[in-house]
Amino acid sequence: MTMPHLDNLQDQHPACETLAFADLSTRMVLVSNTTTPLTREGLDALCAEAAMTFGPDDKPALGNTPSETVIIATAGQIRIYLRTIAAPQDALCCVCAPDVDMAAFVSDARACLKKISDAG
Amino acid sequence: MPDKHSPLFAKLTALAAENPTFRDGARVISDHGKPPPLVALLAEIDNTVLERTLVFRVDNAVLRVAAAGRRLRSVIDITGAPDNALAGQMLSQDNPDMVNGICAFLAQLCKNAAQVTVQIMPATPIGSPSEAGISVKTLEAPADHATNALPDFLIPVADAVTATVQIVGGDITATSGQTAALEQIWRDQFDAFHNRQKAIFPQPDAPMLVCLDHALGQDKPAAIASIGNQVIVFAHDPARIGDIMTAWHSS
Repeated sequence: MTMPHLDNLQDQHPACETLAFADLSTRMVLVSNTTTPLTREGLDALCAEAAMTFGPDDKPALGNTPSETVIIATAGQIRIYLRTIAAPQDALCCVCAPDVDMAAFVSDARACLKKISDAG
Repeated sequence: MPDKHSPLFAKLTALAAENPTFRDGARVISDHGKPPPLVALLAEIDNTVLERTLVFRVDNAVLRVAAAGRRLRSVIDITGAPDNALAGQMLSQDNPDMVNGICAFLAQLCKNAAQVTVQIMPATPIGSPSEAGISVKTLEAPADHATNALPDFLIPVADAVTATVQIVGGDITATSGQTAALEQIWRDQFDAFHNRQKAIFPQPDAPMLVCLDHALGQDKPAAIASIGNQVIVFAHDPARIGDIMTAWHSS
């Protein structure tokens, strides 16, 4: 049931290159969807960066309150990680091109994550 | 007949007009921001022609520097403030990292200082006279830049930024707004995060912007941009994250 949600999100946002639904507690990517030749190691790196950046619930890596959305922008890429405080182990890891419509994408990606988490 | 337009005449006139105050035997050169502490400190170096040791007390910190020829030749030592890697080294105008580092250090030391005093002491033998040091003019330019300028990418979205902590070469050079939580991120968390992030995605020194939506509390985001040896930790309007990203990729 996860794949159609990821497909829909990617169809809505062509600037989104990779989507991966991950379990941060085990640091495992459970399912992914990508338009680029991303290796298993690449997906694992996304999951590791998400887990590291969110940090443990009682000790955020950055700041004093656990975040639900992290955006990491480099010169030519944006990595977006989403989770909910209600189910902090479920995360959506996204790689987008710089021209992504950030507000619309985060809103749709958050809805996608909720559907996947609720279905699980 | 003296030339009334010469710098020397202006300086002698200013000295004659001064009515200095002293505290614990040291001359007060800045009191509650008048004149600005960094300006006052640099002016003392600029007034030092013969080789001297200047002992500055900046609130509780004591800074001993070697000055001569209107140049800062060396920071001899620092007490009462975090040490600096440049202390004890001969300073060179030809080393940009050294110039930036000392500018950032002096800016941070003088930031918000309530009082600065100076004592002029005999020279402490240090280095060779041929090592010229850094002129006050050179020290002033990056200091002005460091304390005033936002990174280029933030200028178009400056109205979305509510607080900033700017860091150059590891030292805080400027702050604005409510910065306690931002300074804590820089002081207690950034290094560990940066090192772990680099281990996952090894891109040494590549510019990077990290934004977290609740870092400072519910719907109170913070972001950290690292660009070369410059880091800025800032708080922003959560509704403007898209604009900030656009500005980042446009710069």
